[in-house]
Amino acid sequence: MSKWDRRRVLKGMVKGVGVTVALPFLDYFLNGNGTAMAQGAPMPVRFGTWGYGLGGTGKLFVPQQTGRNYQLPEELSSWAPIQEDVNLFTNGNAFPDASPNRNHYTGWVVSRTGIAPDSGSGPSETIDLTIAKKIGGATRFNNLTATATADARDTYSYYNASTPNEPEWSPLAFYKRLFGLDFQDPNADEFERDARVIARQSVLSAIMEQESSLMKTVGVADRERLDQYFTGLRQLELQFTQRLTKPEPIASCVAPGEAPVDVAMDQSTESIKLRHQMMSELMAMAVACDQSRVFNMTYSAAFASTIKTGYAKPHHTCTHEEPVDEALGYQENASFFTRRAMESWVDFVEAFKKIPEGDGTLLDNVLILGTTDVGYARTHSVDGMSVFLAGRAGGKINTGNHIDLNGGSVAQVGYTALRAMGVDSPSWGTLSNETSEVIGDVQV
Amino acid sequence: MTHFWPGTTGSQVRTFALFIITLAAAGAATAELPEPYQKDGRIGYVLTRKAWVIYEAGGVEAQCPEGLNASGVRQQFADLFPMDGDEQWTVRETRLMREGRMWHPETSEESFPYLDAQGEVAYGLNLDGKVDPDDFRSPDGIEGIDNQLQRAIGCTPGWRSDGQFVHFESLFAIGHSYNRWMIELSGVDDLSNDDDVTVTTYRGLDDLFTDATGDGFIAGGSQRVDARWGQNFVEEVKGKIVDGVLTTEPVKVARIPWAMRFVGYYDVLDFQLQLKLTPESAEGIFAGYVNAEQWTNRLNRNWGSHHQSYGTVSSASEYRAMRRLADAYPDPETGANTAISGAAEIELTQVYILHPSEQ
Amino acid sequence: MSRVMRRSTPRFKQWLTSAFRGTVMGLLALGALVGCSPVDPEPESAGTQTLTKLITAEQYGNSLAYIFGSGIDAQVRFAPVARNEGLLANSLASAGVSVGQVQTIQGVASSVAKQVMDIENRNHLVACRPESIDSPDEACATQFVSKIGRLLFRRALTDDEIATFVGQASAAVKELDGKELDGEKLDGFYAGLEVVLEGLLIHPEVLFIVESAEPDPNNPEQLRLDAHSLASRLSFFLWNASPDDELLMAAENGELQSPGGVERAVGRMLESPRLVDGMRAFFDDMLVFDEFKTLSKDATIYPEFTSVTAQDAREQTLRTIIDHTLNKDEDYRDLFTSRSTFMSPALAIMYGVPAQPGWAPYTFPEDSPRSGLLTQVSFLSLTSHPGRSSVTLRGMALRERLLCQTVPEPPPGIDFSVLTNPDANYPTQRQRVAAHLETPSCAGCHRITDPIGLSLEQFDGAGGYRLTENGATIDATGSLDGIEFDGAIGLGEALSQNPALPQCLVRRVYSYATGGPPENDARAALNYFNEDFAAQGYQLRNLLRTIALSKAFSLIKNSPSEEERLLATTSSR
Repeated sequence: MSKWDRRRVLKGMVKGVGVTVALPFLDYFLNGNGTAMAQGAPMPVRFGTWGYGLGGTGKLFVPQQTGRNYQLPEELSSWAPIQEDVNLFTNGNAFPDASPNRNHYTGWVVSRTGIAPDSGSGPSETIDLTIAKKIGGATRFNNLTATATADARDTYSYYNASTPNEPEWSPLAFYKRLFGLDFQDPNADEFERDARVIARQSVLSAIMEQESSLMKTVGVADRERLDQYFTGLRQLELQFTQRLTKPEPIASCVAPGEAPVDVAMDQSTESIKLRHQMMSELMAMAVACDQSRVFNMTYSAAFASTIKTGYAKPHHTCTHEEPVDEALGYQENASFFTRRAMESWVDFVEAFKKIPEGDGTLLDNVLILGTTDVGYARTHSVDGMSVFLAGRAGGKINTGNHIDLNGGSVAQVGYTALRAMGVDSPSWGTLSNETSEVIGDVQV
Repeated sequence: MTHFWPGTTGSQVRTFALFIITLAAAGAATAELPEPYQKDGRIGYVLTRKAWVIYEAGGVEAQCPEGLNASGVRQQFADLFPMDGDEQWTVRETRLMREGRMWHPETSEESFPYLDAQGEVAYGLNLDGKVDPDDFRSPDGIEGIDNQLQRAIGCTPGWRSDGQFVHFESLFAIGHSYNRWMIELSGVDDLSNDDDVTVTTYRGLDDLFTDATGDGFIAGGSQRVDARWGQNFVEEVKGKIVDGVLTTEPVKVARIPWAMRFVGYYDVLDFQLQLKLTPESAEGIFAGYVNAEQWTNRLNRNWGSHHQSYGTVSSASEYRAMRRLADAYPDPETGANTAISGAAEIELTQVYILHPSEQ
Repeated sequence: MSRVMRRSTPRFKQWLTSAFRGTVMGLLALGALVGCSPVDPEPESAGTQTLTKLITAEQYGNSLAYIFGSGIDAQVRFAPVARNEGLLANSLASAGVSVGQVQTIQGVASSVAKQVMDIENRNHLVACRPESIDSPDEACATQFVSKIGRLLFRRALTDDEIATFVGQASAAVKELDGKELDGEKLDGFYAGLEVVLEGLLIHPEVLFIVESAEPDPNNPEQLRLDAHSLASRLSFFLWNASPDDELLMAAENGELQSPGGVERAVGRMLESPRLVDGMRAFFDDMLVFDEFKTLSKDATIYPEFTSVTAQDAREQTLRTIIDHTLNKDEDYRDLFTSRSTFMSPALAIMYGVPAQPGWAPYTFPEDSPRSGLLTQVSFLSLTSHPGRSSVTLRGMALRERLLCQTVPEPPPGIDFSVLTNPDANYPTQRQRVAAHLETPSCAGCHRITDPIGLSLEQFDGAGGYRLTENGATIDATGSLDGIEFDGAIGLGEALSQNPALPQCLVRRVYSYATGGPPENDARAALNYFNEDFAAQGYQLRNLLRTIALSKAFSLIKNSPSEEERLLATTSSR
């Protein structure tokens, strides 16, 4: 099969001008033995997150029925192709307890850490990095993190309060990082050990030997930061080792052969959709190629600054200031932004669903936690919050359900994900968000 | 000082009431907004689009009932020298001969049919002050419009509004600062009505400012006058503005940059402008006569065979039509006219023109 | 005596400025200045903590440019850090480096090392020549590693360290010589050195600036920064880069901490052109100009605002500040009323004026609605939404960025319907935000922001001037801390007279210099800096000097952790 021989073309807007961008596309033809892969070894289960800002519009967002085959409400109408692959949890809460309710912050932080953040403090370690500690060490990248917002500050992934996990924000740079010169195609016929990598590895070991003496020169808090840096160096060392080892072939890995064109970096829904789609597809393929087993995508920040071209108010301002349309009964433009976000969520899930793996698709072997920061966009409430879980986690999760959390903490979903990913923790979260029960309805 | 733009004078004077602070320039402060684009009765505009204009209402059926000219330079070559027979051709009697015809065009009969545009309506101006039988009527109903070029090129695809010359001429006009052409109005008391203004043409030096969408131009940019190599482009002429439309008197010879740097320009004789003005932009036409020989030469130098043949243009055939339809500047010896009337559609965006003394 | 002389000049300038301004306030201020005695000596200071600061991408790049010249394209990009008490710089002592970022840094290091050892560069960047390019040369490698290592680590490498890296280089020569990689045949000596340089560039001591303390010989109970840490603190503060060779030498040979030593070093640094880099970085941070990286406007609403406009707007303000404060040594406060600036062609479009290619000095005419930094496109566009202006963001930015005040976050769970219903189609912002001020839960904060922003409403969301919004004439009256005015010029005047303005600069410069927000016990030092700044005519260079030479800058607090560190360090070194 020739790789990337069918190119999908996405029409996008670059500075308002229609352009055609050839994308690395993923819906390539199966070669007939797509199922005969990995020589019978079980596929690893991979974990990812997806985040967007500003919730939804109440009834337009929350289905009326629970269970399976629920009717998709207006703002989720784009979900039809993935409804069966996703669990939707609604009516959840992010309990601030004694901490202040921090606008645009408490909601997603509780969804991803189970802990309401204190005033002025960042989130503690987020779920993706907890899981990465367990499964991230085996691959070239400990985790992959990207944002479609073109703003390197927009991440929902934190190592700790002072170390955000920097997202990649340029599709081109993301491509280069994943599939550039350092990429080792697991299906390549030839393999040669890179002498420079051998030398690099040796120098790196020499540096790592200085760890203990350097640690002595700093105080306790700084030791933690330096330790984190050395962890990074160890991951680098691991990467070097992998580059010196011939990788096992992976049938579903078809690396894009050509760099994508970098697109406009503005905040219009069109540009964000395009960047999101490009990065999602690169990310999914990198996961298929086992370059990483943990991945995070930001569609929009909590204070979403997405704009609708020609409309003066960006998403966040719009939710505050747009009057409720009397005829429609809701904020039309705010809902417009939510709908666009949901379409991109569908793009994200589909990027994984398009890649065949084993008897099914990559989506069968991943679990993706989707979160937002508020429930009802207009009031920024942290009750009535939704969480999504896509993918079947290697058969551990049933999908296609709408589950009413009945005002319980959104951390229940995170805990369920954590357990499905094999993190054996008796409970997760603190105070009212603490949970030790997995949500049975989605368990196989 | 006269206020130039109507409707803005009321807001010109603003007072800033300060509680404890009194400004040194107490009292009036003129804002930058009301008169943004002119100073001392001057306003400049820079060319952002240019194309010879054909009145196309009614479509091809109306103007070219027999169809469009179909034999461009390559087609003519193929017709003359078919490659499917046993005939052996030499380069000299084929390519070089045809090349020679382009550069040394003749008015003799040729075997290729050439279709003139029909119709009675054309853009342009009444250049000779007469209403002749073969003159046109303008879309606004003015009689006596001189635009024989429309007849000569109106049924050739390359020259029509969807043809490649329209596209490429503007592309080059915009993209290369050596094609920067601009006008400056001086002595303007009122941009809507003023019976005595002076219009000076210049070549500029700087890039244009495109807007954030990438396909518009922003007023308020600056352009330096090319005082060193652009002297040939400087012409001064009187004009008047009536209801926002500027019409100039004729300039004997005006130089207009065409496309390629090494070609430089072509001459428009008895050149006149008619432009609808706003503080931000000017659009309309220039009209005048072009010498058929010079124009054909510049056409060949700007646009090679491949450009010409894509638009089914053959400059050798076109030259014959131009000479046949030429309506001015008779050859003193033969009495045959050498120049043909025409008009180009142009768009300009306001720009601050920086004269050598201000640079 | 010399100190008095130095002070009299700015005072004379202050007098002139005031006289020209011709205001009663100015004369009053002059009277007060002439009447006051010289500033009291610096009060006793507790000093600050020693910090372990993450180097910024800019500092890393500036240091590489000093070491290898500007021909090396470093493309450094580190993860953004959080803003803490007004400055990104305040977070560097707590920022960590993620696993992913280490990989990014390795990529940069690899690219820089490759460029340095490229055949085009290596003959001038590696000062010695190896005996042979295809075999190890310990003498030359030692020379390179010790010279470059010292500049990168901001201290001389130990013999052991040098031996380790040279040994690595020699081993790598054998591994690499003659190998073909990426289509090139490697020259062993340089390939070995390249791998070692790559390693040095990702070394934790290069990425982290680790400060350490020592007992002050004049007062053994008190700790102070050791010579190398002092050199680094000074250099990152004033130049936004690692210490240069001369400063390191002064730290190594004791000159820096000898009598008059630090005065000489600071004097040299303040006169160096590298001070411009340092202060541009400081003001970029203080004015939140990192936001320019992501600033974009809706192209259909503001077609005139392009990415070049944004880039030039940032540059215009930085040029204005540097010219005003460093080239002309003028009163910091006058930045907010000054009509002097610089203009570029792309920016001139926003201001509606002609401009020559490139940057040129420009003075807004007396009848222009613009004067001072608040009326520049940078401030106006940065504090607006992509499609319109924001009175709240502008008011908040002025308070937080320029007056060091905190505007609380909006309360959660607000029902904004009061703001938007029944009729949200008010033509002007004043009418739209009126609801803020009428609603008790909003009024508390909006009362301190909106009246400021409203006076800037004659500038739209891209910074362009306008007199109307949606057809209605804009009322630009506003107020700042009890002073009322009409329009942006009045706001600039009021701001320039606000005592919090220079005090905020002092606070920011001191935090920037020492690496963190001032603690409560720094109040006396800050008061002293404030008085000194006033007495010296609010000249930036003098403020930098005063802070750099102060005890509050170089003394270190005794703390249990510091003692623990001292013990550990002395026993390990």
